[in-house]
Amino acid sequence: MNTAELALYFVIGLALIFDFVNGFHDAANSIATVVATRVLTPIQAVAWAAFWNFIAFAVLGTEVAKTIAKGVVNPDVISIGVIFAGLIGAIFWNVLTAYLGLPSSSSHALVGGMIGAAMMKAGGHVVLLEGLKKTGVFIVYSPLVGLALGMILMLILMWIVFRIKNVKATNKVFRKLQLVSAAAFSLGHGANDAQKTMGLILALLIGAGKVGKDSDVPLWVVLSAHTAIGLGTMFGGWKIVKTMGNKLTRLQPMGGVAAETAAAITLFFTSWKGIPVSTTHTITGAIVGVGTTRRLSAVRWGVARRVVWAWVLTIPGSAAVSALAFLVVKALS
Amino acid sequence: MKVSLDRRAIIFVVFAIVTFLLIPISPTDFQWVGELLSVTYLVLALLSFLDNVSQRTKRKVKK
Repeated sequence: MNTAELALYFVIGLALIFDFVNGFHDAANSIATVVATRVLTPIQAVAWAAFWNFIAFAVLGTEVAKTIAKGVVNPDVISIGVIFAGLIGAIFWNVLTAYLGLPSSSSHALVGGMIGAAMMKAGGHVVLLEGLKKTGVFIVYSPLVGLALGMILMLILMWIVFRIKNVKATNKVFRKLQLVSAAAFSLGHGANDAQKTMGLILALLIGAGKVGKDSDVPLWVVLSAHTAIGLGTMFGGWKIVKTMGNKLTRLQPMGGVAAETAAAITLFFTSWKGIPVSTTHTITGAIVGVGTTRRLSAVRWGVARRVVWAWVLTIPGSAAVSALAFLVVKALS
Repeated sequence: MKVSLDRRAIIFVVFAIVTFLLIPISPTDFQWVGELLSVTYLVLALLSFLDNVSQRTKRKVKK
């Protein structure tokens, strides 16, 4: 095995670590509502989410992976150094925001990381505007779709419950339904987030000439990415659970079902259309949407504001770190 | 009776404006998402406003 191959496998390993960290960082999103409403204990919830994260590869396609591999920056400039620097930027950003307890986006950290490193290598023209526009507008669209769907679903459920008039029985039903909605959300999370790592590895393999430019994602890449995100979820970060489940708004089982279903629908759609979105943004929007059906003060807007700041800063922040990382890589090599 | 927009309705109107402004810069395939969101948030703003008016009327009647 020569040095180039060693470097290739090292960066693939790093991409899988990123996927693991992504699962770790975003585990809270999958299980926050189900834990906050005490439908499952944290350990049960983590195992449940990890299972559905892993299964996602069999259900939803690999369009997001293709967008990451070929749609954000010109694939011709992608090298091992660019991906390595991009990953360093994204991992640094994820660790920083996890430490600060901010539910920021691993996906946009990755997109920002790739853009920063590629721009540092070859200039601004290598950024593919169509892909960037698609990712960029959905930074705003995905939480707003989640919010609107969360609110509408909650209103429909409230209307149904109001007619049944048996609070105890309906609460019981919704506790069970929450298992389904949490599974659906974890499925969407696994599909959209694991595919970003698949995209990175696919880009690396294309760059190294291991697969053709029009190649699909190899099965071993699909399986390893889903395994990494599933394991990450198993070891998930508890710090963000508190922010998502309790600090944004207090949830009942019915609200949990509405929020997770709304987020899952959004993630299924974006995965189908090949749009890399943040699962964190989406579930945050859905939780806020559920909260606004009660009254606006039910949502803790101070926390929501911090979340918005994390969203705004993620792409430029991770791009800057990865640009610096690329300079270091270049100097060392 | 003095009629004013409640905070929730105002936020929905802001969301409608933001999504409307994003339509021209969205890729052609996804412009409908912005259009749909704009209309949805305007409807939600209207519903929120009507809800607020009815709540205030109820409170007044109780007094």
